[in-house]
Amino acid sequence: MIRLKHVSKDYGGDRPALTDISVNIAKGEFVFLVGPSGSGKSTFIRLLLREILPTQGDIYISGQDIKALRSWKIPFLRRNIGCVFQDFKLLPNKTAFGNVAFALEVIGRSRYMIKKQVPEVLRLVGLEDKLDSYPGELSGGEQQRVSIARAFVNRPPLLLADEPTGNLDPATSLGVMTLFNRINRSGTTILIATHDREMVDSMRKRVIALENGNVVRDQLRGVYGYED
Amino acid sequence: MKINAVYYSKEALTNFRKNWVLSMGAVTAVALCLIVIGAIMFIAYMGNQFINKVESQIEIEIFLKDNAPYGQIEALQNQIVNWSAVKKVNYVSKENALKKFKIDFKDNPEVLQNLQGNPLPSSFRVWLKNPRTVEATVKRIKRLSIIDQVVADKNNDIKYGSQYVSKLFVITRGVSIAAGGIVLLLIFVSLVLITNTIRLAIFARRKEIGIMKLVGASNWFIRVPFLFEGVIEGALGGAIAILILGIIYRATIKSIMGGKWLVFMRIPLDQGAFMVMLLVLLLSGILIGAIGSAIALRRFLKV
Repeated sequence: MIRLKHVSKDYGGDRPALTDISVNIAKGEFVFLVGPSGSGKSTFIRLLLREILPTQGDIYISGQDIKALRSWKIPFLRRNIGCVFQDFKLLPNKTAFGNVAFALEVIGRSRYMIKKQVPEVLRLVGLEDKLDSYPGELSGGEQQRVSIARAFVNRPPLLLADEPTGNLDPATSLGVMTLFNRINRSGTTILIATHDREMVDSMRKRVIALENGNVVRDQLRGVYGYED
Repeated sequence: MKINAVYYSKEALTNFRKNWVLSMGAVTAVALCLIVIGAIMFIAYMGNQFINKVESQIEIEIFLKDNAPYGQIEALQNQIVNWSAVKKVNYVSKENALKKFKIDFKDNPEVLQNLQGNPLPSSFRVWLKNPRTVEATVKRIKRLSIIDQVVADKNNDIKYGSQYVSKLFVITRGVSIAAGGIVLLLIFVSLVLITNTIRLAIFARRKEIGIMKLVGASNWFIRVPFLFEGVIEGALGGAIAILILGIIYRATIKSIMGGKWLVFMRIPLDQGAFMVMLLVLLLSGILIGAIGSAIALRRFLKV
């Protein structure tokens, strides 16, 4: 699903954000990307979204060399990658339904499809009774569920999350993680960048640990493993 | 695609409403720009018509000696009338020349009273197919061997109105260069204002744009509403310019007609040409809007 070959990214600071990273993630895996702030987690995610290009090395998603992708094809890459962020990135003037529908509208899905799929995915994340609520009327956990619904409504084969529980309390975080787990079981590959120790330790999934731009550990059924 | 067109227009109109003060500023600039362009086009058109009119009236007059032998006069006419540049050659006899003179000066009886006998010479009037060949034709007439036998002084008795026309050409050229400069400046100002409006619209929607990129909206899907907005502003500016020019046209042309001087100049006011001018203005407005927003998109919307 994802293959990084000797990838480095240098923003021009005193040291590269990522140095010679080689990682393979198979289809259907659930992977945590852990590490302290500034270890290169966000750079990793942004490279996969092709928001930035690697300074060196190659990145393949579903066998496709995304470095060679023409700029007009990038949107089509992103349609196959769901994305969740710490700050939810919801539009405050749209309801939960509207926010999820927006993702389908802008890729040209028909009204019929939107009316059918949006309530379905909101039911999946447990918000079937909040369709008409605005983000301001929802709790943090509910907002993050809306954003997960938006990321998943198009049934992408890959879901990326950058600190999805960063703004949530532990109990709510657990609910969100359970949701990711459920989505993963439907066959979607999931990569979560986080420094939520408890979460990682309780899930016992594959853990890739970054430190100063290097992969320091890559273990199946791993734990967070740092002492903060 | 049909849904998209509706979506694009709706988004564009929403942007326009949210930022209407600035948008109206851009519209006003486009309108002003186009009013000036329209006025200049109109004046240029009239000037051109005027020149054409003057040119078509250009004729060469060959004044003949009173004692020129009739056979030579006829020979001259037969030669000139066969030239390809010449449309028509008319003979004006001494008597006809006097008649015309009396008609022209019927309001000045003192001039006619001082007239003794018939001092007016007979003449040929030569009309040309293309007025621009006038100088060449005059030279050719002067080179004819027969000319000295029918004309007393070939340098003074062969007359044409060319000097007048070439002066007009110089003036209109100067005016159009100056007008072109003003138009370029106004187009530049309009472009800057449109670009700025679209830039602010992009800025106001940067969050939505970010999400659109994230979920894979195509580049054109993101761009087109802003392009539409620019086009709408340009078209609106064009429409306002047309309206105002129409009002000015009606008001001034009426008063000019009242003053009769346009009638005197006999410049044809071609409705068709006027319509084409208005269409050109509207299209120019749309073009300015499209280019202005395209500049903003290139500079401020990285997709």
